[in-house]
Amino acid sequence: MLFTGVVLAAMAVQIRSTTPTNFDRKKLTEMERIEQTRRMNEYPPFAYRLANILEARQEAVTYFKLEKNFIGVFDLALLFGGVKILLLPFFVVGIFWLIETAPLIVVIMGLPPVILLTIIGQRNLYGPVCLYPLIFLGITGGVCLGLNKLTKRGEK
Amino acid sequence: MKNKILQWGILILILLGAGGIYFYNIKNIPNGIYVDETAIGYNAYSIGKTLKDEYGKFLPVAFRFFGAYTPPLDVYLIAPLVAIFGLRAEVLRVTSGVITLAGILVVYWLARGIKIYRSKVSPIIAAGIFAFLPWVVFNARLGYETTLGYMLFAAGVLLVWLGLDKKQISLLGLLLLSLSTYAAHTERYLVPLFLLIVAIGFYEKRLVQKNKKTLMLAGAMLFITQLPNLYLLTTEAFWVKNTAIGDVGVMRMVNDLAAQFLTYNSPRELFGISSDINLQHTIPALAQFYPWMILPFLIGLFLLYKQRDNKGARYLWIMYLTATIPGSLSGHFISIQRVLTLIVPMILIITLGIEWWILRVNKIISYEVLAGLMIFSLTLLWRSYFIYLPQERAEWWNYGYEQLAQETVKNPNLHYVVDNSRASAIYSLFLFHFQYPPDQFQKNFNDEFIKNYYTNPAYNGNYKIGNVEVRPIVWDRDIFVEQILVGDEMLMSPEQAKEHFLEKVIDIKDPLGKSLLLGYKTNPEKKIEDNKRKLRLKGISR
Repeated sequence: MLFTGVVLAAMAVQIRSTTPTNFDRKKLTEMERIEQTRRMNEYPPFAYRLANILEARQEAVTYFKLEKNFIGVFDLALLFGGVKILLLPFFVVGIFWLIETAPLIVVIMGLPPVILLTIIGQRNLYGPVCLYPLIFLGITGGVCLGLNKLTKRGEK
Repeated sequence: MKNKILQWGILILILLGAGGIYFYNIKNIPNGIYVDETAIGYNAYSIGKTLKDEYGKFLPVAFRFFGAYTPPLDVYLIAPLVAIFGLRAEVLRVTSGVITLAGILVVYWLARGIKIYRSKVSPIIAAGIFAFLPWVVFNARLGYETTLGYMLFAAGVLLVWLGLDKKQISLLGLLLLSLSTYAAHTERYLVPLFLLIVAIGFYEKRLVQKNKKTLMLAGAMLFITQLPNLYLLTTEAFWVKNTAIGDVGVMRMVNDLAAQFLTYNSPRELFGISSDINLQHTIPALAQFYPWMILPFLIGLFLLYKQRDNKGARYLWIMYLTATIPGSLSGHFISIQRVLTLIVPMILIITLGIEWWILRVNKIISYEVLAGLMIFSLTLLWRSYFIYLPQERAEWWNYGYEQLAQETVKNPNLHYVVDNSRASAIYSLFLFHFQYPPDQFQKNFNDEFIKNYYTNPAYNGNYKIGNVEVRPIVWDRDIFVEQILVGDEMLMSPEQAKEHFLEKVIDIKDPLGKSLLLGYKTNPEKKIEDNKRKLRLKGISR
């Protein structure tokens, strides 16, 4: 319940602070429209139908924007840039340990934020806020595992 | 037996399919030939003719090129091919394609040998996705030394592993790793780091005792084969690519290293938008890996963690974690050409993730979905590489210079000045396209220069090659000489051309219609007359 509550609160902050991605193919920005037109003209004549499918159709526009948003979630440089890189090994080990021991927590804290960020994108000032609870938990798990190992070695 | 025949049948199909993609229209896509390719090609041509590089250095252990001191193996490999087949872009690029085809087999055997998979089909899947990966296809069609580097490294890694698995030391594996340090810059730093960590991670007293003689032989072999590098280590030539080290403060260095390491390993960088600002390193609208591969990659990473007690998994972890360290140390900017050694370990990890899914879902559905994903991926590859790239990135591949070179050959009595203030290495393009006699070009460098070859003397890209002079345009002089001034769109505005009585005689456009190279014929008489008139107006007379 606690984890769900924290994630929901973080997701609410994310929704409020993010300018959502526009998926409507009729409301492309000027740059997107220029690029779309240019690219459609680059196809050879025999592939004009394919050009329409891959460049102009609503499904294609939606798919590629969703894909871009989804991949953008996994930006290590944004999440662990600067001094935070020191926390990355703890996060990785912690998350893996959590997946092994408590996969449901990872699913609850990870899946909805990832889905949300895939849908709305990451145009906001604060970064992927809704992922911070999972990241914090992963780092904490990793640190605890590390301390546990050190303690066991000390006892030996 | 039946399974083996089927596996080999599929492998052959993969090789044929990959060969088709690697060699199709290889002269014209990429559209143009980049200076790094012409440097390799021309120096191979020069070695074939004179046994000296473009500067006149006899059989160098590192090729100066534009000051990069590139490891020499690729040039020496290509030299006989250029001598036989001629100095052409296809010759350089086909070599990379052939090397990559061999690499498909290396990946297959590595996937088989590493023993982290439960399914016998997984090595085939690994070979298949490697063969058609955007990053692999892109580099298989370029005349760069980096392809030879990472493939030799992968072959060495494979043999070293096969040895370790049998508690033996593979001399051939170590030899290949040592040779890979002469193929590309990355391997120079990666090989010692990789071997050190493998030695630590796989150290066993019994292994050392059982292989004492082999280890001594390996040590001697490595020492002998590394003598040229050890010599270079004492010169400035060895350190030119380490701009991230030493030229700034420690904190900045650590920050740069951390930032670059994170970026190179970031799924966003590998499966999404690249941060590499040099558009000559990437394919438009397509990342290094197909985007859908991010899911099996993350799953594979977790499964690799779970198998951490498995020796093969440990070996793969070392391959993966060390792959981007040399690249992170080599400069202040991201350049994905420096981390090609990341491809093979990532393919093996992605295959682990795909296998997990295949073993959980109905096999037929899994293979159908995988086939569907590959068809979709290949469609995107076709679109981005064969449609977008030759049109959108022509400028980045020095498109237009071949046409310009042909134009200057048609007019041997005209003198051309080609502006290089924004691209100092373009002289190499003329050497390549003219197939300029190496002994003529070598006359530009005296004995003192050759003597100090490895001390990295100041680089100068200004040369006279036939009737073409490559240098910055000197405006207060060049407009008074009868010649043709050539440059990009930033060379001058139409108003300036009018002011100096320059007539546009060359306009080479890219496939999208953008002017890449403009040539203006000077009119010294009119310019002088105009200057006199202006002086008279100012009341100054001669």
